[in-house]
Amino acid sequence: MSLITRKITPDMMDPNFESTIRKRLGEKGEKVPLCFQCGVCSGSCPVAFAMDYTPRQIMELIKLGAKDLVLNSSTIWLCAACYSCSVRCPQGVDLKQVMETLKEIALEDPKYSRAEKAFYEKFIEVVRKNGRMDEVALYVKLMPKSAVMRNLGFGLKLYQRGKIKLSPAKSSNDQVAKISEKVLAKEVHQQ
Amino acid sequence: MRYAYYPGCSSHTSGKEYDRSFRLIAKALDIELVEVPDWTCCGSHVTYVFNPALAASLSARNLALVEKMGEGIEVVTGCSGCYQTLKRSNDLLKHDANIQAKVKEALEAVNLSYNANLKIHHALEALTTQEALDTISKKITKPLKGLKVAPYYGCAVVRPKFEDSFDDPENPQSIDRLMKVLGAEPVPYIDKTRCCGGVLIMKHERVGLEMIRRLLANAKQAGAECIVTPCALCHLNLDIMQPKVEQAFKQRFNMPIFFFTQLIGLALGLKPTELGLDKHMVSSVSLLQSKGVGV
Amino acid sequence: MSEEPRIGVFICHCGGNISDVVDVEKVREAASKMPGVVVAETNRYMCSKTGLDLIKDSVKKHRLNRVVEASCTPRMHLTTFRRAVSDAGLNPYLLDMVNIREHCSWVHTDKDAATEKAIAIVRGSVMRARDLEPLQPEYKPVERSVMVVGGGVSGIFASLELANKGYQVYLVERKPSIGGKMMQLSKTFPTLDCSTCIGAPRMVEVGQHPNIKIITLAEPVKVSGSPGNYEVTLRIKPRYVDVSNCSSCGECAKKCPMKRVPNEHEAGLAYRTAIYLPFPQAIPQAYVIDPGHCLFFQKGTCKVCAKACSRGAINFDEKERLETIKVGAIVLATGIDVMDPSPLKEYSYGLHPDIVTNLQFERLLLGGMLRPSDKKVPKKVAFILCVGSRSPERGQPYCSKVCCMIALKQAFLLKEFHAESEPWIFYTDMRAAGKWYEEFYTRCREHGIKFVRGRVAEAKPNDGLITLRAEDTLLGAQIEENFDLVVLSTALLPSAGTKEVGQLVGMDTGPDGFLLEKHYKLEPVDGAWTGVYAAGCALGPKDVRESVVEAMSAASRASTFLGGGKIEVSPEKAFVFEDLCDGCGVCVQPCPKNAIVISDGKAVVNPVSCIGCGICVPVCPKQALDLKHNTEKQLLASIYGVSQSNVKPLIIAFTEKVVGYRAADMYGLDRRKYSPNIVIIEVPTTRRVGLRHVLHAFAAGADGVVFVEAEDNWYGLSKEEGLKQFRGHVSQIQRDLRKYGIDAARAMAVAVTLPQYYKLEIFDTVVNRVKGAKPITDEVRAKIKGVLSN
Repeated sequence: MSLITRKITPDMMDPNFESTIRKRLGEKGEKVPLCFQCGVCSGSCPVAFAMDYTPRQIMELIKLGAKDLVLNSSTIWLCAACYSCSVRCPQGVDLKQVMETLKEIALEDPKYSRAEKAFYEKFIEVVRKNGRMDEVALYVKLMPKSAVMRNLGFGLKLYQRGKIKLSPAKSSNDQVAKISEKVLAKEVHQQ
Repeated sequence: MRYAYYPGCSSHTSGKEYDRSFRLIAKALDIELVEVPDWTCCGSHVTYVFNPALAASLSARNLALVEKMGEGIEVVTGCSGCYQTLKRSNDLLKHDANIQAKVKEALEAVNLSYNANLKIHHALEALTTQEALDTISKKITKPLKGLKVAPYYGCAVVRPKFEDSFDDPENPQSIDRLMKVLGAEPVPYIDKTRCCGGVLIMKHERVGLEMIRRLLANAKQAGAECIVTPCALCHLNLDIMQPKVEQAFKQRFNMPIFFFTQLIGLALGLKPTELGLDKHMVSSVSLLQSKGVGV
Repeated sequence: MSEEPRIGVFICHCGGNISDVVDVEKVREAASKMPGVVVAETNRYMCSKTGLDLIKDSVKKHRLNRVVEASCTPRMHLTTFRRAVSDAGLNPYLLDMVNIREHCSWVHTDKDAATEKAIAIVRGSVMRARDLEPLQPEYKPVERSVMVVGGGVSGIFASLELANKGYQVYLVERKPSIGGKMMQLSKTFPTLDCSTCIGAPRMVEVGQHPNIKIITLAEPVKVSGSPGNYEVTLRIKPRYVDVSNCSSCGECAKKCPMKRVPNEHEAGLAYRTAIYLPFPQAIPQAYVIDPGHCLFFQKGTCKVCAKACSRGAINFDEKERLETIKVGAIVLATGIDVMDPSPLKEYSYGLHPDIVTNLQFERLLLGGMLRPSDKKVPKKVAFILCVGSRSPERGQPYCSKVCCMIALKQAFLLKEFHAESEPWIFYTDMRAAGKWYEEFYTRCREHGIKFVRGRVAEAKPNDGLITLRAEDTLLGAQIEENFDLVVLSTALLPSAGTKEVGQLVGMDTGPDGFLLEKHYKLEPVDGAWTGVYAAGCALGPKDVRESVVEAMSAASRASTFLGGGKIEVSPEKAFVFEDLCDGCGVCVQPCPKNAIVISDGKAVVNPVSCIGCGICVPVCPKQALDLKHNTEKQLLASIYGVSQSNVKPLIIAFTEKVVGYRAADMYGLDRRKYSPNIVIIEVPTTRRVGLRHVLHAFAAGADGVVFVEAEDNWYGLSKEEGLKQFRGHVSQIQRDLRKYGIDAARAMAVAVTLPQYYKLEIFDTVVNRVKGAKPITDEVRAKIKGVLSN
C-alpha cells in the first residue's frame, strides 16, 4: 500500500521530530540541518530503487517534520546499512546513522513497526537463547509456514552440503542470556 | 604470526567453507589461529538497531575473552559483519561514556571486563599485508592461470571509515593485489563495493534478489568468470541465492563464487574438496577444469 | 613651546541641539576664566559662514595662537574648522575640537549636570590646547612603478592600465610565458568569444609596451620598505635560452630526444619536448628548457638543441639569480589552479582516459573534440558539476562560481561541433546569475542539452564506457546511464603559493585559501598595507569579465595612491626621545606594523610605516616614546582637565578613535541616555593608555575608567589577536591597580562594533558600580600622587 502523498499539510508536521533525531545522534546531529538535498546519498544507495522515498527525500521529510511519512516508509526498513551514503555525503551527514535512529524510534512504537519488528525481535531471541545466530532457526521462527514449506527443497540442498544443521549452533554457557537480561532490564533509551 | 581467531556465527553454516579454507591456508602460511574459547555472537548491526548497549556488550564479551588469551594478541575474523561490529563496538567503548558504563555492568554480571585496547583485523587484511603476500608468493605451486575474477569486497570490510581502516572505501585494492600475486586476473568491476543486500534477502526477498542479480550481471559484463569475496553473507547471497535469482529473473549466470581464502588455497596446491568448493551451490568444477586451475 | 598660549574658546549652540540642554553661556563664562583663555565666544551655528568668520576674526583680533572648538562630533566638521583656522594663519594642528553634542547634550537629561560636564570637557580641551604643537604632514616621493605578480588576464589588464597611465610596470610571472588560464580556454561564456583571439593581442601589447618589463620564471621572495617605496627581491629561475636571441624557429625541439613530457598547456593530454615553447602565442616568444626532463641536466649528456640552434641562443650555464626592484605599489594577480580530482575516487579520475577535467575538456574542444581514448566522436557526454566544490566534508566548502557556466558553454560547444552528440549536465544547482547568463542557459536548453538535477554519486569505468549513477532528484528516481566521455567540473583552488606571496605583503588568506581584501564591500581590491592591491581569481573564483573589472580597479587604486607623485604622511606618528632611550628593544615587538627597529643602540621609528596607534608609548619603561598630536603632556592635560568636573563620581572613558568614538556618536544620534558621570577622552586606541595614565586619572580625582575599543581593530591585527591583546592589556592594568588599593571593578573594558553601539550601556553599569562602592580614600589618592611624582 503506497503511503506517498503529494501534499504535506500542517497537521502532518511535527515540529519536534527533527530535534528528537538530532538529540539521539549526539554530535553527529549537528550535521543534519546542513543537508542541501544534493542527492549523492540516493545516487549511491544500492536499495533506493525499491524504496518509496529515496534517502534524500527522507532527509527532506525530516526537515518538514513529517514524522508519520518517515516512520511509515519502506525506506528505513530497506536500508541495508552499507554506509555508501555516509561515506560520500559532501556535508558529512551520517545518513546511515540517521536511518538506524529512525529504525530505533520506529521499533519503540508498534504503530510504525508492526510488520518489521518481528525480524529484530526474533533475531535477538535466537541469539539470547543460543548464544549464537543460526539462520535456519531465525528463518523458521520468522517466516510464515507457507514460505518454509515452499523452501523445503531448497533447504534440503543446503542440508546436503552441510550448510544448515537441524539443531542450531549453541554456545556452551548462558552468558549471552545473562548479559542480555542485564542490559535490557534497564530503560532502553533516554529521550 | 599469531592471532585470536573469531570465526563468527556464519562459520558453522553459510560460511563453513570460509572457516575451513581459512584455517587450512593459515596453517600452510605459518599463521597460528587460536580460536576464541566459547565465543558467542558479536551482536551484528541488527542488535545495534535494537539496542546499541546490548550490541556493544555482546561484542565486548568476546573481546574480553580475547584479552585473556595473552598479552598483545590481536583479533582476526573472516566475517565482514563481525569485523565491522567488533570495530564499531571497540570504538564506541573508547569514546562513549554512556555505553562504557552499561557494558561494564553487563560484563560484571558474567565476571568479565574489557579494556577496549585490542586491535581487530579482517582476514583479508591479515592475508594481504606485504609480508603475507610475500609468503604466499613463495609458496604458490599452482598459479591461477589468468582466471578472470571480479574482486567483490562488499560493504562491511571497507566501510565505514575507521581511523585504522586497511583499504579504500571507493576503490579498494587488497583483493586485486592478492589476485595478481596468485596469478589470476582481476577484472575492472564497477560494483566492487556495492552492498549485496545483506539480511534483506530474508524478509524482502524480491528486493534482495534484484540486488544480487545486478551484481552478477555486472560481473559478467565486466568479463569475469567468477567472483571472489571476503564476506560470508555476500557469499550466501551470491552463491546460495544464485539459483533463486536465475529462477526469478529467467537469466543464466552460472557464476561460481569463491571465498578469497579458497583461491589462495588452490594456488598453494590444496585440493578443491579440501577447501570446500564442493559445498557451493554453484559448482566451480567445470570452470576450474577448463582453466586448468587447481588440477 | 616658547610663547605664552593665547587660547580662543568657541562654543556652538548648534541651533538648540546643544543649547537646549547645556547652558552654553555658563560654559562660555567659565571658559573665559580658564588659564590662557583670551576670548570665549558662542554662536548659534559655529560651522556656518558667520560662525567661521567669527573664529577667523577672533584669531586675528586677539592674536590667538590656540583655538578650542566645543560643538558637534569632530567627525563632521573637524576639516571645516581646521581650514578656517588655517585660513586665519594658524597651523591646523593648533585647533582642538571637543564634542559637547553627541557626547553631552544629546545623551543627558539633567541640564545642570550636562552643563557642568560640558565645562569639564572644555577645560580638558583648554588644558590640552596649551600643549599643542604646530605640525606639518610630511611628503615623501614615491616610486612611479608597480609590480604586478601574475601574468594571467588580471595581471595583463592591470599592467596595461598602469602602463598606459605612465607607470613603469614589472610584470612578474612564474611560468615561462604570460597568459595564464585564459590562454588554455576555447571560448568564453556567454558571448562565446574565442579566448585566445581576445587574449593574445593583449599579450602582445604587454610584450611590446615600453613601460612594461616582463620577468618570467620569477617569483617575489622578499618585500621590504614602505608604501610608495617597496623593495622587492625576485628569485628568477634560468630559462637556459636567451630571449632576445631566440627566434622561436623550433629547430631545437625537433631534435630534442625527450618527447614524452606531459604538456602543461594541454593540461596533460598531450606531450612536449624538454626544450619547448609553452604554446604558440607565448609571450615572451622564446623557448625554454625544463631541467627536470632535460637529458643534460639529468644525466649530463645530449645538448643537441644547442647544436641545432643557428643563433646560439641556448646557454646551459645560466644560473638561478636574485634581483631587486624598487616599486611604489604592488598588485597581486596570482590566479587559480584546477583541483586534482583523483582523491575523489568515486569519480575514477585517472582510471580511464575518457574521464577528464573541465580544463582538459577545453583542450579537447580546441583539438577536434574527440575522445582521448580512441579519437572517436563522443556520443554521450556527461558533465558532472560540483566535483570538490560545495563539499565541506570532501573537498572545498565554497562554490567555485563559474563551473555551471563553464559546463553550459562546453555542452553548447560540443553540440556545435557534433550535432549528434548528447550532452548531459548533472548539477546540484544551476548558477547563472551574471549578465546575459540566464539567457545563455535558455539557449542551452533550446539547443537540446539534457539536464539532471542531482549530484553524481559515482562514475566508474565499465567495459569501455563509463557508468554514472545519480539520483534525478526532481523525479526522486535513480538514474544509471553509460557515457563515453565524462567531464568533471572540478573545484578551483587558489594557485599554489598564494598564502606565501600574500604574507610577503601583509595580505592574509581567508579560510577558503584566497586572499583577503581590506574590506569585503568597500575596499574589495585593497590589501591591508597601503599600496598593496589584488585582483582576479587570487581573491576568489570568477570569470574573465570580473577579473578584468578587478584588474582595472586595482590599477586605478594603485594610480590614486601613486598619482600625486608623493604621499602625504600624517604627522601623528610615534617618535623617540633619544636621550631617554637605552635601546632595550621592548617597544619593537608590540608594534603591529613592525615600524620600530633598534639602530646604533637607539629605537628608531619609521614614520612611513608608523600608523600612529600609540601602542608603543606606554610600553617603554623609560618613557622615551611619545606620539605627536597625542603626546603624554596633551593626554595628561585632558585627563586633569576633565577630572575637575563637579559631577561626581567621575568616570573617564578612553575611547578608540575610529569605531569606539563613532559608536559613542551613534549612541548620541539615537538620543540614548547615560549618566553625565562619564566623560569621553578620544585616544587612537585604548592601548595608547597605560597604567601610568590611569593612575594619573585617579590622582586627578577620577573614580573609574572605561576602555572602549573596536572589535575589529584598525591597526592591522587579526580580530582574535586584537581582542586578545586588548583584554590582556586591560587585565594587566586591573591587576596593577589593586596594588594601589584600587578595585579592579573601577577599570572596565568593552569592545564594540558600529552596529552594536548599544553596548555602551555599560557606561551606566560602571557608574552604578562605582556609586555603590566605597569611595576612594584620600590616603589612596595621596599615595598614588606620591608614586607619580617620583
